[in-house]
Amino acid sequence: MKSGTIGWSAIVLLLLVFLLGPIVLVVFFSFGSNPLIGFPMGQPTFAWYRKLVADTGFHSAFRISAIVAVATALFATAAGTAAALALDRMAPRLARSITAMVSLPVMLPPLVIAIGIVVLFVRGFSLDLGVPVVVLGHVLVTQPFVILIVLSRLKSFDWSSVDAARDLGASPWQSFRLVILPQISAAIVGSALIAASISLDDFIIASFTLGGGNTISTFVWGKLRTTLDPSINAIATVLLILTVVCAGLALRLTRYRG
Amino acid sequence: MTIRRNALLLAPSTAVVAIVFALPLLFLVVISFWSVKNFRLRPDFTFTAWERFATEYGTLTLYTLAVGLTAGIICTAVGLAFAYAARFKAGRFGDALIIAVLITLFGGYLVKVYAWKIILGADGIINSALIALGLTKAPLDWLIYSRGTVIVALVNFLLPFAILPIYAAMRNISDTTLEAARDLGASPTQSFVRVVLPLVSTGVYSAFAFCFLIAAGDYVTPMLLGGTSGSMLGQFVALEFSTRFNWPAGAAMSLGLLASCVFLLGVVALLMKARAK
Amino acid sequence: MPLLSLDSLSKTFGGTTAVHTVDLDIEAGDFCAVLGPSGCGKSTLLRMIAGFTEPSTGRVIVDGTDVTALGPEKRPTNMVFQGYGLFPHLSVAQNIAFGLKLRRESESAITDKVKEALHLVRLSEFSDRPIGSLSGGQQQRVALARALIMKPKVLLLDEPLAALDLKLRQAMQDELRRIHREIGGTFIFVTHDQGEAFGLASRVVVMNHGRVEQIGSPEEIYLDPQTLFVAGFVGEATMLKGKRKSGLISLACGISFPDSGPDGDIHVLVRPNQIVRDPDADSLKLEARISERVFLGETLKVTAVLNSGEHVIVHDHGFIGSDSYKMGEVVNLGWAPGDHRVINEHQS
Repeated sequence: MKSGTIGWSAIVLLLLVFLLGPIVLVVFFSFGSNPLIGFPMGQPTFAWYRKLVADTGFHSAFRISAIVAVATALFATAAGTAAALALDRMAPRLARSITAMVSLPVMLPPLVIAIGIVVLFVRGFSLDLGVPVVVLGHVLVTQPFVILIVLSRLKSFDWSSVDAARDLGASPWQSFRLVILPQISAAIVGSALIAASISLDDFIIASFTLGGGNTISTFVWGKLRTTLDPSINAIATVLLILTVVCAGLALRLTRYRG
Repeated sequence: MTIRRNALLLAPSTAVVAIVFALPLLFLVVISFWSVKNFRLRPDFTFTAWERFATEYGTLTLYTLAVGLTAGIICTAVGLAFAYAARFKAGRFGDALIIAVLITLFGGYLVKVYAWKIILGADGIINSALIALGLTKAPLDWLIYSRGTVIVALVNFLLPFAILPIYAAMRNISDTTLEAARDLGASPTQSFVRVVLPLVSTGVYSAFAFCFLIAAGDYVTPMLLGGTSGSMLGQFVALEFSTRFNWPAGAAMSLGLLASCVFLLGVVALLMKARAK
Repeated sequence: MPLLSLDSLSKTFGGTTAVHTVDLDIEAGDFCAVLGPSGCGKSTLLRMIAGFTEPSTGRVIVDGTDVTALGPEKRPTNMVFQGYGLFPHLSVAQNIAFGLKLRRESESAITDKVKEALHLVRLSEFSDRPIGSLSGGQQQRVALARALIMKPKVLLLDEPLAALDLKLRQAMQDELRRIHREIGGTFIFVTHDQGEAFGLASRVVVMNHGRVEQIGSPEEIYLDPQTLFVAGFVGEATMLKGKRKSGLISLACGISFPDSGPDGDIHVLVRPNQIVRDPDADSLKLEARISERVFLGETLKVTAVLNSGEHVIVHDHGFIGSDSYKMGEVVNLGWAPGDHRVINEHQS
């Protein structure tokens, strides 16, 4: 019994090191002065972050990423919440198949989705690529998460409080605004943050559909292909902090566990 | 009235799926039968792209599927172990473990792939550490640019996606169910095989399917870490779309890959069903 | 004119009828219980009065106005929901003020009325508490105050005490009686618990399978049940099968007595406290063997078997010591001729 527990602890510990190690190293080396990113890592320094702050290319990438993330969060949350409200009230079988259909894009390799979008928009619709197309692609892959989170909140929702509001004189819209919305707001804000963090993290869809310019991810990619310098570690750390803070806040808000 | 309300509420999300997913996929199918002349796409009905996929990329497709399958199986097996430990062995640390996994889930796709490059590269962290410690004189070049490296990085990125659905399924198993199994004479292994596994089989399958599909369709990891020996089909799809401008070929290749993935997943599902009986 | 009239009200869901045509008048000031087993249609009836369920046929008339076409927010009725339906994101006072705010009453009027309502349900100190911090009984009283503050013409209560434990249930019954006495409104509540219905209501409507079986005071319902269902559902009873032919009833257990009425199958119903041991000469008499005795504290409940196989239930308040009513003992039981009720078979 005792040795079994030790065995399990060792496995879990090793896996945690495997999962977290690479990320931790990147963060670690973003503060080292060795430009070769190896041992010895040199003096602790903020030099790479200063370089980043001075880089106008990074500024514009940061701006575009922020715009895309915020727009994705807004649209995905609106569309996903509306869908969840409908799905919650539908016959379970129909609701399940609609949910599966809307969630399918998450299961497929983003490469296929990205080239599909490019082909249809450029050749089929003769439209230009750019931020709006990226946002559409990101809404596609983030709205299933919104639906999942809001739907699971609605499962434990006490609908008699809505009946009570109607009974006390609220119109359907008033009962939505005054009773449903405040009660599910944590789930909605949480899912918006998850959507933003997925959007910030995406590289493949953005790199195909953005056309010109950079998001933070495609900016990192550009640097990766030319030089390996530790300012990439600094960007990676910034990106990491952004996504983890968004996701962490979201998890706190929704108390979502898997 | 409720039907109209529901249709209205579902309209935005289904419209997005239609315009950004269903239509593009259909158009990809159409385009895979078109031809290219002087880098210009021309409506046509020819099997050139598909022939090219079958002849030039047949071996690479099989290899890509093998990598995806390996990554998927490793993720599922390790994910099962981790989820089991978090649910049944870790006690009050279980929640903390899952939160750690959730953090790595959002820990950056590109960042992780890149991290393996700086860890395993010729003058990367491991080699520089080995040299600094005097354990080796020249860097170990077999650490990077191989199939193994690609699989390690893919597993690292996909493992959280395997752990979470399996853990979610295990959370629905009550302690009493397992205690009952033990009470009726099952050993820990027997209760895992006969009680836990059947109850989480849907979660296990969806974890496997997800990891397999994403791994098989990836192109960033092999591009950065695979070198020449570890390349995968996705890289060439991206290539056909970006520099070569041969969209029909790219379309046929991605659709062909997708179709073979779905076929394999169907086989796995049948095998699982057969085993359950 | 009655305050609330249900005029041939019925409800069909898909192919199944939840409520068969009901006609019911309720007077101002009534405390009325709708009593029946789960699935009998009582909640549907209540929701049709509140406006949550659209009736298939018929009309709901409140105080002379036909409200059938109005939504719940436009009706002069308010409801205390089963499970309360409180707003967990609002405080106690905000919950209670909700309806008045929608009516756009002035802040000062709302503050005063909320204070009054909190006082009525004895929650004055809890005004700023979040709903989640209250006990079940306290939540129940918030729900009551939230509905009462609207001064509804009819207050509807859907299984108001079902979620509470036994002690609280009794305390809340007293509370509800006190509140009804103090404000004197018209209350209609739905329950599956006969004790609750009798303890609170001045009128009881018994429902089964979507039909109203009987309407009357608790005493009428208990002592003079009109149907076999009411007799069996409300309280314990001995039911004896028999036939009536030309004014003479003969029971399967062997006794007979004159009784006017149509010929046919009948049941004779006797309440347990009306049956005595070793009865007078002019009583109806039976011989029975004791098959079970259960000590209930204030009474001894005895079940005895007749030669027809039917059971007789006796509640004996005056038993002495443990040697009375031995298991297997054959005893003489009986009741005074006026104490039974005869129910004709076709009525149920």
